[in-house]
Amino acid sequence: MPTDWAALYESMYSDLVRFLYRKVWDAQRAEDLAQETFVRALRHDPEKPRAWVFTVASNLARDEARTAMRQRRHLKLIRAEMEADPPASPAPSESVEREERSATVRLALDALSERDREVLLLWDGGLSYAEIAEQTGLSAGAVGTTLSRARNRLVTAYKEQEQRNVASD
Amino acid sequence: MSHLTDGQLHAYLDGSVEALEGATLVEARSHIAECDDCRARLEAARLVRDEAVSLLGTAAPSSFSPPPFEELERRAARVDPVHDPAGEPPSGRGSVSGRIAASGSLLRRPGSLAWAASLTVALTAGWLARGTVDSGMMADRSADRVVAESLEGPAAGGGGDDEGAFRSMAAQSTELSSELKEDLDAQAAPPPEFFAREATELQEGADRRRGTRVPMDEVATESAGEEAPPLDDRPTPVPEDAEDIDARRLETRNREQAAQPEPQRALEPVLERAAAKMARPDGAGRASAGLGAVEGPADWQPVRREQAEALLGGALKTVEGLPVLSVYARAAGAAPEVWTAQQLASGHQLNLRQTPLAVDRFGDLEEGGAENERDEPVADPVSEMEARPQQQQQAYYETLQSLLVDGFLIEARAPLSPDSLRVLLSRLRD
Repeated sequence: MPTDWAALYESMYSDLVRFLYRKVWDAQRAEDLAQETFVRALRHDPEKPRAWVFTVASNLARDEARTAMRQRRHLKLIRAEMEADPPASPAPSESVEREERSATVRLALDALSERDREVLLLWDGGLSYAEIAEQTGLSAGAVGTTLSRARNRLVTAYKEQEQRNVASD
Repeated sequence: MSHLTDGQLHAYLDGSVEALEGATLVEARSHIAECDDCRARLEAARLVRDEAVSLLGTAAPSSFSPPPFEELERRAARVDPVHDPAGEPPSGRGSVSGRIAASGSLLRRPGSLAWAASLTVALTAGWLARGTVDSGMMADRSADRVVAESLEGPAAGGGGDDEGAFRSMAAQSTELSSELKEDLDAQAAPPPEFFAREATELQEGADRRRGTRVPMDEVATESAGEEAPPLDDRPTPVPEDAEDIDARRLETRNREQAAQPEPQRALEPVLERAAAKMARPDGAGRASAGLGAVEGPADWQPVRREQAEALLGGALKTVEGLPVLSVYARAAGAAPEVWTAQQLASGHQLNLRQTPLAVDRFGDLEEGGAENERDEPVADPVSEMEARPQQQQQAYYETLQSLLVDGFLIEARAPLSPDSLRVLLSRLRD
């Protein structure tokens, strides 16, 4: 039975962008990669579209990270954030709080092992345990264990990071 | 039934029956209903899961702008599967883009084949015609010369007769072709004197390099009479002017040092004193400062933090919360530089290199924006690491980042991801 890609695109796009955003931490780039993933999916028309899409997206994000790493090896002068991009007007406190929280979550995610992070993000992207198992090579039972550990670590790392932020303020 | 594992509890919460590992959903439900411990753990797991979901929800773009699906279809159809090996699904299932662009693809295939055939014919023709190119070129050149001469004046023996002129031109052309061919032959095969001259020059060059001048025939006699020593026993050739070169270098360095601005020269005694102190047999300088746990770059001097700050003319920046292992300094170029090693939790090092910002050197920063290429060659991190002692090698990869803080240029190097390093650098303190 042919895949209804239009429906799949509509239902998966936001999940995929969120998944990619947590890997590349750039909204525009995440959307670009999501679109590229769907373009490739349309060309390949895989049999297991959801798992395939997330696998390809994950690979694209990894390539992106490698490219970024290579670019950074060339020494660049990066201005301190305030010098480089001074805010034109004071941002609303709500937005600032959201950004701070997002940055803390990002640090907490960085504290996870690669496998834990991958499983957590795949689950949050809407994949089932069976799909995650297929993609990561874990058994379905191990996905539950990994997910349990990853969630606990994320929450713990977030709280620790928050305490550090408070201490440094 | 025994207690449910954490993995089973999370699978139960997520409604993933296949991950319950042997226990059926009904069994798990009845156990949870009977077991206070598992029920409490399930509630705890639910809280953790909900909190994780909430946290992940904050780390997401605030809005999406998905393009219309038709646009993606057009993009997918744009690529020719012939040129895109990934375009053919390995499963044999029909490609969507293939279906979308089926007619275009079929039409493009013959075009591609025709192009390939043209290329093959051209290459074959070129190969077959390679022997006739030289003579063809010669004929063209001689014809040009004949035409030029005929335009300059009446052709010899032509007498205004067109036919005669044509014959004369043809004869000249043949003659010129022969001349040119001889020229080309001469170029292809140099005269014997050329080889003799080349041999003499080569020998003279070799003699100059060896520092002695020995006639060719003597060399031949010697080599015939005695066996050459093994390679290891042969003396290393030393250029006659090696000492002169050293003297010139020394002189240049002294001149450069004398030309240094006053503040920099004033720094050198400080560095020397620091070096002398660190070199004391009792190691008092290191012990009292708690420094020297990690060796700095080879040509740098270990200093105390206060000394480093005196050199820099400002506060030494370090990442708050990380133990400082070593501080080294040097006065190189136009400004002093301080190298700091800090211990990361992973056991690796964070290296910071701090130098006052020279306005003339980085004057384009205001125009360049956040990221600018540095205007001097950057050492290859891998080579630098290989040059360090084994115990100082951190990892097979390192991230380099630079930033400007309070008028200092700080270069940071650590085996961390760029994002982690950036966050770490946001905690630089005096």
